[in-house]
Amino acid sequence: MSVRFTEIIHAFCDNDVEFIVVGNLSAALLGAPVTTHDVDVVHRRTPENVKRVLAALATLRATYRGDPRKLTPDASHLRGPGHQLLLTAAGPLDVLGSLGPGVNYEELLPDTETIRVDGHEVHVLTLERLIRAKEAAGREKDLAVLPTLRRTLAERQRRTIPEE
Amino acid sequence: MERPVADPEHEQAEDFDWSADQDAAGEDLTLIRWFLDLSVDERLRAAENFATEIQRIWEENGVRPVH
Repeated sequence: MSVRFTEIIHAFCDNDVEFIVVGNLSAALLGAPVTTHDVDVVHRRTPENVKRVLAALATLRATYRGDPRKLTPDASHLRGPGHQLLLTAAGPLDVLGSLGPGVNYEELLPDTETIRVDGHEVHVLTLERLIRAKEAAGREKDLAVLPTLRRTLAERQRRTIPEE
Repeated sequence: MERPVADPEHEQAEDFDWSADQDAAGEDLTLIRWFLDLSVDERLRAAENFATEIQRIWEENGVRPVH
C-alpha cells in the first residue's frame, strides 16, 4: 500500500477539523530527520468537532488497526481522552483524545506552530513541546529519538540568530 | 623512519573541512542541516516515501504492528 500522509491531512482540513499534528510526523515537518509509519493527531473533543473528525474518517475509510471485524470509531470513542489506532485508505492514523494524562487539544494549542502543508494551514506541535512529551512518556522509542530532536531544535535556534 | 606514501584519495580528503557539519560536541549535523534546508512539502514527501517502503517490507514479510 502507498502511504499518503498528505491525503490524511487533506481529509481533516477539508472537513474543517480542529486538530494538531503531533509525534514524529510533526518533528519531521519542522525539520527533524526522523521517520514514522503513521500520522498522529490530537483533536478537539467538542461535539461539533467530533462530528467533523467522523466525517474525515469516513472519507478515509478508517477502521481499527488489526481488527478483522473492521470496526469503526464512533462519537463516544472520540469524545474521550483515549487513543484510536486506525488504518485508513491512505495509511495508519492515530487519533488521540489527549497527549499524556489530561493534556488535551486546548492545552497543546499554545505550543504549536502553524505551517503550510500542501496548501493547508496546519497546527503542528513545537519541537520544544514534543521533546517534553517524549521525555514524560519515557518509552524506549521516545527516548531513542530525543538526541535528534534536541540537535534539530538547537540548529533551528542557531539559524534564527543573525550572523555577526 | 619511512615516510608515508601519498595516497591520492587522502590528498583529496585533506581539502575537506570535516568540522563544517559538526556541533560543539563533535556530533554530525549533516542530515539535520540537509533536512532543515528542505521545504515543508519536501519533508512530508520524504516521510511518506519512508513509510510506504517500510509498509511494503512489512506486508511482504507478514508483519502487522499495531502500535
